[in-house]
Amino acid sequence: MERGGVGEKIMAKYAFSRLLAVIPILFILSILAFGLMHMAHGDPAVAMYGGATEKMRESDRERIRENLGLNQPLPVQYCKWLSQAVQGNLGVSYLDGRPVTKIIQERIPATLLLSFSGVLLMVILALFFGVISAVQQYSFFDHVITVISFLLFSIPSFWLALILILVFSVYLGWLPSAGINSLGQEGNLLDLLQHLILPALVLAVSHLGGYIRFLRSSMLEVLNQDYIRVARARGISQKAILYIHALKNAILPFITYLGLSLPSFLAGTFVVEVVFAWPGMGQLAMEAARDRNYLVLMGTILFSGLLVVFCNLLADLLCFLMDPRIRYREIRGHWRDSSA
Amino acid sequence: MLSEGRFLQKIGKHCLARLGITILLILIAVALLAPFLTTYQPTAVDLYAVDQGPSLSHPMGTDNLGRDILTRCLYGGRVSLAVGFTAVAISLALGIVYGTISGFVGGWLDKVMMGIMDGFLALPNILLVVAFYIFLEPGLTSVVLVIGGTSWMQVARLVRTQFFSLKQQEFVQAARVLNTPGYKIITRHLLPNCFVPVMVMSIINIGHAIITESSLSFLGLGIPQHEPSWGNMLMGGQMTLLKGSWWQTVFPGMFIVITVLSINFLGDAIRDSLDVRR
Repeated sequence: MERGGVGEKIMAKYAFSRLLAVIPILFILSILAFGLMHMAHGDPAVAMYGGATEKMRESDRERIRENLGLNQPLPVQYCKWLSQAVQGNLGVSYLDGRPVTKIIQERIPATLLLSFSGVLLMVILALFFGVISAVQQYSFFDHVITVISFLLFSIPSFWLALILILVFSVYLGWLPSAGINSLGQEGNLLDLLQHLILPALVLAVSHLGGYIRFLRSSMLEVLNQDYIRVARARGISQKAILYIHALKNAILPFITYLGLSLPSFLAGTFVVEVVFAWPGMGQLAMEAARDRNYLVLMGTILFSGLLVVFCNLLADLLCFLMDPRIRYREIRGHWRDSSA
Repeated sequence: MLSEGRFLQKIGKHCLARLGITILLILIAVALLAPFLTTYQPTAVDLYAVDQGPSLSHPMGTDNLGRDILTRCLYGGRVSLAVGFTAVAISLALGIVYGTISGFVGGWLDKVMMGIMDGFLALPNILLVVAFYIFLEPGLTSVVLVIGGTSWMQVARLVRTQFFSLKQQEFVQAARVLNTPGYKIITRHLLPNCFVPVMVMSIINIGHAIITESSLSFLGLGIPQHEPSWGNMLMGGQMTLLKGSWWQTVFPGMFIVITVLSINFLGDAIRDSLDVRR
């Protein structure tokens, strides 16, 4: 690929086209969030003040409705809400009167830290076990991995979390069972790591099964291709074939799969957060659901949707950088467009 | 495509499928026959036998209110299995209708419908479930409705893709040339050819639905606390876990894992027998 001007232009163009494709999804997400908010018993007073509405007078409710412009048609209301939402105004939580956006912003770093460590650990483990079981197909080791990944596929993540707490916190006493920091240890990196190990491990292991299976089959597919046979015939070492020729190709569908399965990974993060009292977005969402704190819940829905969409974009760009086939397709498209 | 008779024969020979079906049938039988298998009541509180470990009179111990864990596991199986099967039935109906419309009509309608679906798919499932659930009265029916109503997307996508490839095939085009009415093409030609892949997916989805129900109950947002369900029991067990009462966490979880595992065995075996490459 050409360095400099054209290459960067094509990359920017590709990124832009992916960005355009995301807009409908964002639109649907916003409609979904708005619709759910509207469903809050049809009464926005309930949406804003949750359980506290029961103590309100009818006249107060009327006043709230009027102030919010709820006598206007739905599309108008939606547009107003959206223009506020885009500016980061998602309303205030009825529990403490703080802006929803701010509450969520405080929770995002913890969620990102946990899910990123989980993904990292999971990818490392999946690469290791997936490649080995593909290379040694039908060996004893392969069978053991297959059985284990089947088992992991059937274990609910929160139960695995409970079992690990039981073993490592209750019986062995090695690791803390909850929270992100010990009391008075905020900012202590070692302490944070100690708290991170169990939740990240649960997250990685409980999703591992599917990813190992996926990597194994895509690796097997690549290893049966003609160019691998050619490489073998040319006397290229087994290691080079595996890691340079095969893995590089097998990992591309894996990245796409990772991007697509991100929502389920995030769902796992949310449940794990609750078990470990990890102060992230998932814990916030579940608290909000229990308190009927609708605006906060809608906020977490919007933000996690955004997070998923953003990570999918990232996966697309990563594939673009790693896969020459996509790159050349785009370059050809670029030349066709510019010569026309 | 295999004929139906040979297909069933092949599954019958598959040892994982046999194992899966056997365990599943035992679990269903045990859940249904629970009143005859145990002398305890699932909600009977016994304050003289609180937090007891496994013993002869309570093989799986008791919980923090002295209720027999084994009894509650057996009764809890009714909830989990019922939720699993009915929720999947609902998602199947929704997904098939959605996928059929999108796949048969095609064009801009298909684009809009797939766009809406992508929006749903971009959200973590548990968040969607929780968001819809809080609008309903807590209870078994709501749990089933919500889980069924939020897991139809994959079925819809599968049906749509199948329709798109089937529509290209000659027998469907022949039917069109012969002026066969649309509904007949759908019910006679297209849907029957989707049956097997949709069935495989649905079986796996039963396992997902059971895990979702238990997560929901575990989070305190599912089946009401007093009713025994595996997720509820785990929620209760979490409180005494730090005291070392492992039996309240281990046993209900084992029931979930064994159930989902046998369902997955079954699904995988069916997929295997369909794979022509073997």
